[in-house]
Amino acid sequence: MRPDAPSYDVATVRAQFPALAQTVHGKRLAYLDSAATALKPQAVLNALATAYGRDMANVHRAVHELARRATEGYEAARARVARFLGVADASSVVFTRGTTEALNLVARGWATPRLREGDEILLGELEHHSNLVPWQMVAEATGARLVWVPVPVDGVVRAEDYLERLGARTKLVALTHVSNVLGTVLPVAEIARGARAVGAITVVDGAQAVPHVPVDMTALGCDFYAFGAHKLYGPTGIGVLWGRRERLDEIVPQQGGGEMISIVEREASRFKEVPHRLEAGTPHIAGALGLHAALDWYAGLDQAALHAHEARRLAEATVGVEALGGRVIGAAPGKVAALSFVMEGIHPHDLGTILDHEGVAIRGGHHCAEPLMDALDLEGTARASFGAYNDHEDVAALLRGLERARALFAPSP
Amino acid sequence: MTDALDALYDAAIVRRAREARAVRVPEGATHRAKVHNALCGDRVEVGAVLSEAGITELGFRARGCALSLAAAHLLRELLAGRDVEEARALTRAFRAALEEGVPPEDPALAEALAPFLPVRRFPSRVRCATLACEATEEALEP
Repeated sequence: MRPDAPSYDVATVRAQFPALAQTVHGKRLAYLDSAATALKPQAVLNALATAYGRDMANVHRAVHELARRATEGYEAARARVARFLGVADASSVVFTRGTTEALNLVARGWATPRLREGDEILLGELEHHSNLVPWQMVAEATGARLVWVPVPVDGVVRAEDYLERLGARTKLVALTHVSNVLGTVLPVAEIARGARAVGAITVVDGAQAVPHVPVDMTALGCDFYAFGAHKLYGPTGIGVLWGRRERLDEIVPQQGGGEMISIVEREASRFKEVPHRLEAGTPHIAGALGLHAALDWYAGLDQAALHAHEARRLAEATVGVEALGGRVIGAAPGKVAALSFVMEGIHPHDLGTILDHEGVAIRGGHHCAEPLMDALDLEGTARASFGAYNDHEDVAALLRGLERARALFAPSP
Repeated sequence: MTDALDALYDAAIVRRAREARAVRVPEGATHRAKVHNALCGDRVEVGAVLSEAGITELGFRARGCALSLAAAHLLRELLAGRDVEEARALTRAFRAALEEGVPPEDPALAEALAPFLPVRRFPSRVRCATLACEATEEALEP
């Protein structure tokens, strides 16, 4: 295993994360659960402190100075997100509570009013429950049918797997950009092109992709893209639904209230334009500012060096886990930042407890992807996932913990 | 050097967990229940064959961690041949020992449960060790 390349200074990155300064059960913390949520750099914590401690006011309402700063900050965050997504129109960025709320907004506000009995929703077995249960609810409400794309055991997803299931009845394709279990990067652009050709829209769950792969809406060609800030080093409770402007205009608001109306009369109201019509109530102002800070912080990293760094962690962990007899789940070329594996005879939760005791934080279980676990005939997996701050020592701690687990579970003589 | 992990994964637990994988729900079970721990996805299905004499056979199908498997394995051993009232009392005492730290009055139960007590130092794992009890209680409900 090689040390980190000089182009990426992981020690400098680590120094920006206060959470990494602690010990857990008396051990150095090896945080390998960034696919669940990433730790937060000081820049994000500072932005939250400024939002609550200095520029605190409600947005789009009062004329006083603090309200001006809060409103400008909130709208600047929206523009920053648009830039991150490679789009010019900031009004195509809707703030939500997170990925799940964004996907549910499309399901309830766009799909449920439009789909009819006999229509088809195409989705993969590998989807996270957040991009699966909303479509079950749409199917239940409208009589539309779910058409499943199977996942091969190697975790490699091919565009043809989707394209060959598209037809005149397909109205919507729901897919993740990056699998939270397998690390597979899906060929979104090719699938979205095929979907458009049959008149279907494409809804992409970007939760796992945003911290690891470039996300350019023009290149992807999807209709909706959802992600949360918290896996991208930002705060919890804030996320984004990006949509093509004409698609966003078609969404029926699911919440009415302040912030989203232009005129309210006794019997009816007129709504504002998007994005505001989809953001009823006081938004998570500090969250938006924290997301802005996270995007700035993230953009400050040398992207090519970061991706290479994370790929190196993934590669050395893969080699180490396999050397200890672990079976790695998911072998897609170019997979990113998540290593799912099983150790024969040791349940993932036992691994989780044992590793925790060694200061190593991983996730064990079905990863909110039960249909995928069923398809792969797995009870669950252990998942180590990597972020900007993981160094060689984190992987070494993981492997030491796995050795310990093997020793504890070895048949007694 | 031994520590809390050595205590939690005592050889008796590991052995029981391994043996538990071969256990099945008896065919012709007269009483059955399935429980599911939504937190971790563990599932235990318990089935018992009851006659007038009591529990003639009890088995389970468990999908989960070593603690849930080992606990199911022990419970099966403890309940075989008991009548329903005895079985309920044992199951209650089993849970009370792990959930609340109440020492079992029955010395045989106390001895059998001893390897499980370190789970009390891992609060997030206690329910793993009581899942089989929950399923058994549900299966034996009148």
